[in-house]
Amino acid sequence: MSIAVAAAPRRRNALPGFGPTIGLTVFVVCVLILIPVAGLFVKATDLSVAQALALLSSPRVLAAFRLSFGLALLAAAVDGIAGLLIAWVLVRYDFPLRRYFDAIIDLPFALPTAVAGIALTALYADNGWFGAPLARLGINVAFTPLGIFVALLFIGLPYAVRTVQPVLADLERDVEEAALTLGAHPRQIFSRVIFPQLLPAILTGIGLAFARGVGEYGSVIFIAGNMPGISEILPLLIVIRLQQYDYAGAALIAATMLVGSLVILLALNLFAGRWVRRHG
Amino acid sequence: MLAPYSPVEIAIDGVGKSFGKTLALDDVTIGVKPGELLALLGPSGSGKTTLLRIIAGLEIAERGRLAIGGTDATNLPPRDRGIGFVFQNYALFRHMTVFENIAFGLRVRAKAERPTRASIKGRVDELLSLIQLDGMGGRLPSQLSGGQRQRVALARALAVEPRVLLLDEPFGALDAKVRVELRHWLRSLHERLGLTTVFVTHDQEEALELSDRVAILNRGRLEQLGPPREIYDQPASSFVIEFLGEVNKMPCQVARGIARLGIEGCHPVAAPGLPDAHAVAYVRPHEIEMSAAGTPDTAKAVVQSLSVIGPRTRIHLMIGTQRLEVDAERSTAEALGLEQGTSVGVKFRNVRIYPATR
Repeated sequence: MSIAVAAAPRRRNALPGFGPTIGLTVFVVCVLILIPVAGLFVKATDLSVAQALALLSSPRVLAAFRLSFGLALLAAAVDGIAGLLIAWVLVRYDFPLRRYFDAIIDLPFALPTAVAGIALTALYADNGWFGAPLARLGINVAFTPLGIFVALLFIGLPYAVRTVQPVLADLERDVEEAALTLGAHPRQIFSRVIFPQLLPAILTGIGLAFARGVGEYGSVIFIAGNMPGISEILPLLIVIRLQQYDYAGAALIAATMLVGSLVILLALNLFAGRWVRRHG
Repeated sequence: MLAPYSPVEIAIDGVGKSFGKTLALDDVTIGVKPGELLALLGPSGSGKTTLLRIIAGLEIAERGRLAIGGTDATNLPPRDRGIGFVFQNYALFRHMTVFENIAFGLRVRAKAERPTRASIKGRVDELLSLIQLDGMGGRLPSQLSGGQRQRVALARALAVEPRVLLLDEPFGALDAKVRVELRHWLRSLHERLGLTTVFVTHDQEEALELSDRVAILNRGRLEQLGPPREIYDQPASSFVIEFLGEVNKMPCQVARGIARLGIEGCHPVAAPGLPDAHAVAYVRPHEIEMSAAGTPDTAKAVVQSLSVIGPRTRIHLMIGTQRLEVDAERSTAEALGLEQGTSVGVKFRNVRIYPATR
C-alpha cells in the first residue's frame, strides 16, 4: 500500500484552490443554466413529433422565426459597424465631453427595457419627433418590422462598442506608423493592419448583440405592433402560448430558438477562432 | 545580390519642436554624411527619438529645415521620404507571416509601381537570407525570438529600398548577449549596404562601438558631434563626460588658468580659458594610478572596499572626505596587497576641468 502511494506520481498545481473553485463552477452552471435548459427540452417532448412539426411549420411561427432571427442578425451586423465607428471615435480622438459620451453608450444596458420601448415608440410614432417627419416621407417606423429593427439596434449597440473598444485601445500605434513608413495609405493601413486585428472582437460584439436581440422582449413589444405574421416576434409568441397554458408549445418554440441561436453563435465563434489561429 | 543603394546625405538645419510647453528639440543642426552610420545618443527626454521621428516624417519640425538627398523634406509625408524605419518593439504585423510582413511595403504600392508577384517573392527570399531566416517566411512573428523579430523588422524596412535607414533603440528590448550579436551583425550589414543610417540609443557603449559619428543630445540641444574617439577623448562639456560612463567628480578652484584640487600631493592642472571661480575636476576610474603608500608625488588614500569583477578590480578609496572610484587590473591591486583599510598612494593620469554647472 505504502509502496503504491510512493510510486504514484505527485501532481500538484502551483495555484491553490482548484478543487473548491471547479466544484462551485460546476454547481452554478448546473443550477443556473443546464438544469433549466434541460427542463425546457424535456417539457417540449410532451408534444408528439407530428404535433411539434405542425406547430413549427405553421405560417405564424415560421414568420416569427424569420422576423426574429432576420432582424436580430441584421441589427447586430449594423451595430457591429456602428459600434466600430463609435469605439474608434472614443478611443482615437479627444473631444469635449468625451467621457460623458462614453458613459452614455451604456444607457441601453441600464435602462429598463420597457422604458426604452415606450420611449422609442413615442419618438417614432406618427406624431413623434422622429416619426412625424418620417411619416411625411412615407416611412412608418413604429408598429412595423422597421420599428423592431430600431429597438434591436438600440439594445445591441453597447455590446458592439464595448467589445471593440478595449482591443482598439490596446493596438500598438507604432505598428500603424510602421505601415506609414512602408508607404501604405490610410485606407490600406485600416484594411490591412487595423481591421484584421479588430475582426475577432467585432464578431464577438455582433454575436452578443444578436444573442441579446433575438430574445429581446420588453423594448420590442411596445414598438412592434405585434401583427401576427408581420411584426410578431418569437418571444411574444412564447408568451401568448404561456397565457394559453400551452407550456409544451412554448417550450418547443423556445428550445428551437435556443438551438438556432447556438448554431449562429457557434458559427461566429468558429470563424473568429479560425481567424485568430490563422493570423496570430 | 541586393540592389545597390545610392547613399544620400541628411541635412538637419536648425530643427526645433515643442510638445505643449516642453521644448523637445532646440535648434539642432546635424549633417549626416552619405553612407554614414550616425548614433543619436542621450538620456531619456533628450529629444533623440523626436529627432529621429522628424527625419522619418512621423513628427513635423516646427522650426528649421530638413533635407534628404539634397531635396527639402521638411513637410513631406513619410512614404515620400524614401526611409526605412525600425521600431524599438519591432512593430511587426502580428496577423501576418514573416513573408507577408517583409512584402508589405511592396504590396501596398500603387498598381503601376508594384513589382510582379514573382519579383516580390524573389526580393523577400533575398532579404530572408540576408537576415539569416531562410525558409522561415511562413512563420508568424509570435513564433520568433526577439532577435529574429528585430531582424524581420529590419528586412521589412529594407524591402522598400530606402535611401536612409532609421533605427529607434533597435536593441533596447533584447537581452545582453543577443544585443551584442545583433550589434556586430548590423555593423557588418551596414558595411555591405553602405546605406546612410541613423540610430537612436541611450547606451553609450553601443553608440561608441557601432557608429562612425556620435551626436550627443541633452534637453533638446546638441551637446557634441564627432567620431566616437574624439567624443570620448575630448568631451565638449561636463554633461558629455558624465554621460559617457562612470567618472569621479571633485571640486576645485581655478585661478589664472590653473586649477587646484585642494588635495595634498596632487599637482595643479592647467585649465586654460576658464574663469577664476569654482570648477569641477573629472577623472575616469581607469585613469587613476595606484602605488605603495608614501610614494613621492602621490596623494594618500585609504581603501574603503574592493570587489573583483573578472580580470579587473573596482576599488572605493577615500582621500580625506573625497570619495574616489578606481578601476584597475586585478594584478595591480594584488601586487599592492590592497584590502579594506590599507593606505595607498594615488596619482591622476588625466584630469579634465569643466566650469561648475549652474
